[in-house]
Amino acid sequence: MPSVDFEELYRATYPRVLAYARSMASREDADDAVAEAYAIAWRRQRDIPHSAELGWLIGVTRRVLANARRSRRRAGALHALLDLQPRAPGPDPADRIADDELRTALMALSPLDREAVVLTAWFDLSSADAAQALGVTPAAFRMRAARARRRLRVALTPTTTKERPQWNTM
Amino acid sequence: MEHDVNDDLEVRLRAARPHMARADENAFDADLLARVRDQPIAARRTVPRAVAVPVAVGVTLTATAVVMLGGGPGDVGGPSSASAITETLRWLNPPSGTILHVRSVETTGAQTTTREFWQDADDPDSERLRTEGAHTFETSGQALYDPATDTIYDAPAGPPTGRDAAKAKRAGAKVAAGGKPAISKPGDHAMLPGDLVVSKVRSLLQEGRMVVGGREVHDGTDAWPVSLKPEAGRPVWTLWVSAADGKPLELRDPGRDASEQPQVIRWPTYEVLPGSDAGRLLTLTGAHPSAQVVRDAAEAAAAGERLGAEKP
Repeated sequence: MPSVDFEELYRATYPRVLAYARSMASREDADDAVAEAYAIAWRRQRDIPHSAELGWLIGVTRRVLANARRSRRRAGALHALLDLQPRAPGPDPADRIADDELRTALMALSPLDREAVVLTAWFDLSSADAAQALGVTPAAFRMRAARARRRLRVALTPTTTKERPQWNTM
Repeated sequence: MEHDVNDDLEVRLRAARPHMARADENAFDADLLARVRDQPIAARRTVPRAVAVPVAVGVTLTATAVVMLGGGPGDVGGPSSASAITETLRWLNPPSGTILHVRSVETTGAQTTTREFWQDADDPDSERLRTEGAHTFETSGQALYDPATDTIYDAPAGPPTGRDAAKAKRAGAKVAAGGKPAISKPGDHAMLPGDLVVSKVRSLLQEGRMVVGGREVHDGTDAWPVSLKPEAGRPVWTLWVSAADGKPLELRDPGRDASEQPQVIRWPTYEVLPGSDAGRLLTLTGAHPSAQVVRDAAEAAAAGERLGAEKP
């Protein structure tokens, strides 16, 4: 027996999974990835972890998008199937934000650290869901998120608080 | 540990959320839900496997299912043929705990490129890829191997032992444990292992954009042709799979128009190997234990450029 009510799961998660995908890829690629992710979820619904369903689905979507990018790198045959290939490169969502200082600070993080921040702040994922999405343990996720936020705080600290040389004129 | 939404950084992060990252809570695609629910639910794979499971087994079942369920090959328009096509996809999923080994030869005009890869069925990102063309080289993760000089270039940003070595260590641990656990680990989403072209065919079949033709003899082998539907908006290309064991045999693509040269891909090897060989097959250090390892980033970049290696 399936461990989840699939339609209920779909209704509860689809908006955020779609928002995540469209933040990470062109609209067409995102929609393809979401469709693939739910097809996988349907086939493997017994494996969807309880209480981290959204994270699992976003993790699947993330991997589908990564696979699409991987296949795009391959020259030759896959390009010949162009009509059936991802249409545009996926943007980094952090690259689109208007707050220049924050954008610079985010882009200075490693991609995984950036994702750790974005998944919770923009997509309202719990730590358990975000850990599931990134394929790490909750403890590893908490460490990564804390480190990323610590680096962001440092990067965003006003320069007036930085140490300055003290000239002793005596 | 959840984050305090009143925290200054949190407020600033949330305020910066791009428009497309905001979920439309009313978003609902009923058609997608219906299409998804139309597919069969996979049986759970629970048996740890430390031995190779021949692809041929699944494929033989597949070919049988095509005939039994569908009454023979056909379009996806009818439910029985749709079931048949679904059954043909089974062999594209290598069993958990195994290594997929594929060798393909791609020919476009006068240019031939041979690709060979060994891929963890449970973690498709864990793979070693060998490319033979104008230059021959291997990649695994961020590492690059130049067979001409028997040198591995691995200048990772990660821990000092290197990603490649870490992967080898993990693979070794799996071997020591007698194979992989059947229970999913975080991040194990059973994602799309396999040759990228073959994987694409799988997704097109699932989307109902391909059709299985009548059984025929292709280059002396009994085969099923699987073709793009004519209404797909481009010249039809075809993948032949062996009727005996379901392995991909050949793909022929005429090109989108006269400006494109036809392409042919052949798969001399498409097999499943025991997961216990992961340490030797998936990493460069495992496959080439005697190779010199260079960790200098500049040397690694120069080697990548010289060999024309894609960035992994």
